[in-house]
Amino acid sequence: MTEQSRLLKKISAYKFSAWELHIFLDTHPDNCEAAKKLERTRKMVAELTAQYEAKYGPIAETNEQTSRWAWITGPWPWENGTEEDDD
Amino acid sequence: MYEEMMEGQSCKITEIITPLPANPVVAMAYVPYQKYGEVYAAEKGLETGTIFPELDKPFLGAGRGAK
Repeated sequence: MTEQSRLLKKISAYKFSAWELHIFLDTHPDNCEAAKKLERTRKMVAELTAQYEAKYGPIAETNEQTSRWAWITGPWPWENGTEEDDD
Repeated sequence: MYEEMMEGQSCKITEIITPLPANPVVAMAYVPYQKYGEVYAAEKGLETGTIFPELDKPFLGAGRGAK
């Protein structure tokens, strides 16, 4: 469980939680508690994503923290640093 | 009842909704209205598949048929 995958798991956990609250609010629009919780969860997702992107580059193709083409600086998926002729 | 606005969303609890309607009609099916109570922590929610404890119903395969 590398640091990167741990952070990714955390981000998807909070995204899942945000989605659950979102669906709950569909049927309970007047519930302020759930709305506040959703707001906090969304902030958490943004914060974790920013953290992730600072270390590992863009998490998706469209994010504010990184430029649209920041992915070119990162390694290609098949480059996991094990081959000898890595440039 | 209190009036509270959150980003344009009125949080006025209009009226207290009971899980089942006041006078349920015979031969009609009802799903009890979900109350907002406790929620699981994010990572636990991701594993169980929901953040609402009341919806966390894992299939345990117990019972007569299943061995």
